[in-house]
Amino acid sequence: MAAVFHCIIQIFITFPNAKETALCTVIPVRFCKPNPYGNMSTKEILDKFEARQDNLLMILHALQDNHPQNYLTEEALSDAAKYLKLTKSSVYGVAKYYSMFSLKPRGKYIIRVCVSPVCELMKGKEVLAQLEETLGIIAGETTPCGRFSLEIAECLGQCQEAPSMMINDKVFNHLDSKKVNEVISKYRHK
Amino acid sequence: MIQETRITLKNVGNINPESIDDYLAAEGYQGLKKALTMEPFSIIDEVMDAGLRGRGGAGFSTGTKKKFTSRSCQSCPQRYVVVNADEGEPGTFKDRIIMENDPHLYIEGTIIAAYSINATKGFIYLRGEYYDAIRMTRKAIADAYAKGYLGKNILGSGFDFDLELKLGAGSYLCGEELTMLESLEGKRGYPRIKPPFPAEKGVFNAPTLVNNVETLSTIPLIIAKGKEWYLQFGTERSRGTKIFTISGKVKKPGFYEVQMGATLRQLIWDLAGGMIGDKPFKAALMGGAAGTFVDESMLDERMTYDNLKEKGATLGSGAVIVLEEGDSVYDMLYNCLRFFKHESCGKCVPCRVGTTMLVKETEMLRKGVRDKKTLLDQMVKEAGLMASSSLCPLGQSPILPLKSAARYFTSELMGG
Repeated sequence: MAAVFHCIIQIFITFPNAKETALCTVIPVRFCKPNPYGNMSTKEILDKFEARQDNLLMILHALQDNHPQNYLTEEALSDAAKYLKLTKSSVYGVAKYYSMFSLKPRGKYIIRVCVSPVCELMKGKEVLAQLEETLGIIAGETTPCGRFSLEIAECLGQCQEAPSMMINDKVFNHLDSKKVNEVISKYRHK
Repeated sequence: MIQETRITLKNVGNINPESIDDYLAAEGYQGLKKALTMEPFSIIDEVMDAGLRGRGGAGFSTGTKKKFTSRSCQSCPQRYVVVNADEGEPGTFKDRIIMENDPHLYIEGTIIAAYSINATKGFIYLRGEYYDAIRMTRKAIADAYAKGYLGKNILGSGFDFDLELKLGAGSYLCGEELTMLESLEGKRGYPRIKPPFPAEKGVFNAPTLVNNVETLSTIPLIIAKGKEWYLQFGTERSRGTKIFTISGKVKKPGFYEVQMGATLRQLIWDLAGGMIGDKPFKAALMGGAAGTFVDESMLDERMTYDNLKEKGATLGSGAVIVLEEGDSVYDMLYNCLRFFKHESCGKCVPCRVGTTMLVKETEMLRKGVRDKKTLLDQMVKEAGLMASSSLCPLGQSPILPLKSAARYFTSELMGG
């Protein structure tokens, strides 16, 4: 009994955002991110590419897309290094340089909020603030149940309909408080 | 009252981008068919005589670039064409519009460019976040292969050309041609030392032609319809049309293709419907973050590469971000400088340290420094030093918005 109690306390210490935690228990997060590679083994993915260094970025994209938590694991990096006959440090260096690659687990849905001059001019800051408030995380973090990651993006090229954000590969434009709420609640139950 | 002159964008909204048959019905691949009957050097001459200049921002003559690439290193076994589709300049989305709505157009341009410099392999370096453009391009390449416009012995001409799609992964810097080539080779996006230019040593150290999507999209039309047809558009030194992407406080933000030499006033009031709520115009940031601020005194200047340069402004990628009375130039500038700080790769010390310092100093302008004028002058001076001592355009860029903002909006930058 004491162990169960301790466990519940622990959950609330680890996940202070109780509302989000409660939602997680109701709606299990499952893998359904659309990607051309499906859920394949690392070897299957690597075999799709010729073992040339210029394929490194494509390989890292494919490996990351294939992971349900949208990130590059240690093993993925070493496998890619071995396959391309590169040092692990050079592969790590590349993965670390590009902002689309993550070396830590991320949510099922990656929200990229545009903070470019145009979006800021069109009240994009409010969108970011609202998302941080609604999700209970700040940019760069992932919700406790692993549903959403919030990231800041440079110009997404949607300036004619600013402010904008992306959720995985979908673009959402003309954002205001109402639309942000609608989109997020849709993805909460997806 | 000016009208749009849609040449490059003629198919946008009129054809199904996923259908190669639609593109063929709209006179697609006619330029390529004609090009394959011509001598490669005469294609280069045609493009050169048409006066086409690079639409990526620098405005270098496309024909000259081709000539250099085709002539350099005759003993090299392989030449490459690289399409710069890594569009990331804030406020710019012209390439995205082409790629999402008419992907075969720029692929056709790429094949013609490859034929003219005798390259048998090409890459498209497309920005990783542009999912729709990636999807369209992927489909278009597959369809072009299926119809024999790519691959071995294109249309029975004996010319082989393979085109491969490569994705970027979120680095603004990789839009710079030499950095892009590093990234294309599977490395960190660090700039290379220029010279050698890509025409001599590009990707895999081979002669490489790097062109922007919009530039390549113009080539099929120049070839199909001839240089005389193209010469009717634009001005003497800046030929043809330019796609402007206008955003901010205008009634109809969007993309507009106009002849070179249109004015900012025409763009904002004739095409973009004027200012929201008919508020007074305050400023525009032209060319994105690596661009220049202008005030209303520049509204009637003709927008050509040379005229704007003379007046201390830039045409750049064609981005126009419009600010109305009450918007803060300071905030815009601060945003741009933060952007440079974030995107600096750290290779050159002046840029790495300088971009951070400029952000700090901009904050100090609002924190009650005693002598703001001196601070502002110092910032401009530092940005100038960065420009002269950094390898790539990123370190050379902060001076542009900073100096122009300081020129037109000194009191605002120092006030508050």
